[in-house]
Amino acid sequence: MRKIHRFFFVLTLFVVACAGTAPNILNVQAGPMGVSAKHIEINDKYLERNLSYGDVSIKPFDGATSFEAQVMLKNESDRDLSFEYRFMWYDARGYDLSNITSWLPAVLGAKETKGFRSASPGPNAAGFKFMVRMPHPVTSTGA
Amino acid sequence: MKRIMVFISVAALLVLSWGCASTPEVTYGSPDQIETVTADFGSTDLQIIAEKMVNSLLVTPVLSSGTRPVFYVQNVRNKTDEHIDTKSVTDKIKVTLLKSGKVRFSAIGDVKDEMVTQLEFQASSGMVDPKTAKSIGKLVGADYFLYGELASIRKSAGRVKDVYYKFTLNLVNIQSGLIEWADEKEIRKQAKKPLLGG
Repeated sequence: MRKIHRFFFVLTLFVVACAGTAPNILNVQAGPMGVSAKHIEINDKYLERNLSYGDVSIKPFDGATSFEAQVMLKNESDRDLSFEYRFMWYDARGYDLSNITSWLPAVLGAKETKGFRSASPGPNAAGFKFMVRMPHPVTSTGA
Repeated sequence: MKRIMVFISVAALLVLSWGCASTPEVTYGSPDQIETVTADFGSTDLQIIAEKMVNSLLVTPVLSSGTRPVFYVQNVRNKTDEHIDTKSVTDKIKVTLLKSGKVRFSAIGDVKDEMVTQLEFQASSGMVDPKTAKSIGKLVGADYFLYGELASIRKSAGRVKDVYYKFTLNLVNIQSGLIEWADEKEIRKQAKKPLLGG
């Protein structure tokens, strides 16, 4: 009887773990002169524990009208960590400027820190969101 | 105990009937989602490459000089053993760069014959109002062209398949013949067949 309970407990955990969760989002207000404000929105506690946001760097280009952003991410765990990320750029009115909004796969080794970069798509960018989430890819349906 | 056995039997029946369904379930998904249906070149690889190339190109002095240079895209050679439409990769890069407003693209590489036919038609058919007819010899010459290649190394042993892709793109100054910019993106994918089935 206890074994059956344990089985259903593990099954429940598995189902919960496989369910898609909202991403953790780093909201950054920035311009070619640098970062003016940032705040982190946590939706996935597991990812928060294992993947931490580090420094955000800004590098101006295009006569200092556009900028490239770099966000440092650190895998805090002792194991390799696979996740998905994407940058989304906005202008001052909140219009989405991004041309490529795809989720991209990434892996960080145990305790590894790496910078993720993106260039502002145009000169009007006033900020960006850098999102991370656990992988939930489109996989084979067997069809 | 009896109730649990009934529950397990019903669950097993449901799983079996689900597995035996003959019609595949079709749903619409987001093109932004990561695709891992097989280890072959797929939509996510295209997006990874385009993202890397566009980000790298946008910050080059060629594009950030404010002169809006004119590009055209030459072929990206497919050196893999897969049938891959490399034009869809360069099209994605082209569209994203065009939207940035920092570069213009010549259509000559894609629709040269159509343009020549249309210009000849407008100039010499007598059917087009001369006031609106476009004259021959006014096409804008490209300043740079993009060319590249996609290569792969594929290995498999037992249940594991490993694929490595390398996409290289170069930007050539047509006047000087110099490669002004180049970048590459490497992608590694692994597929592992399940012990049962597959």
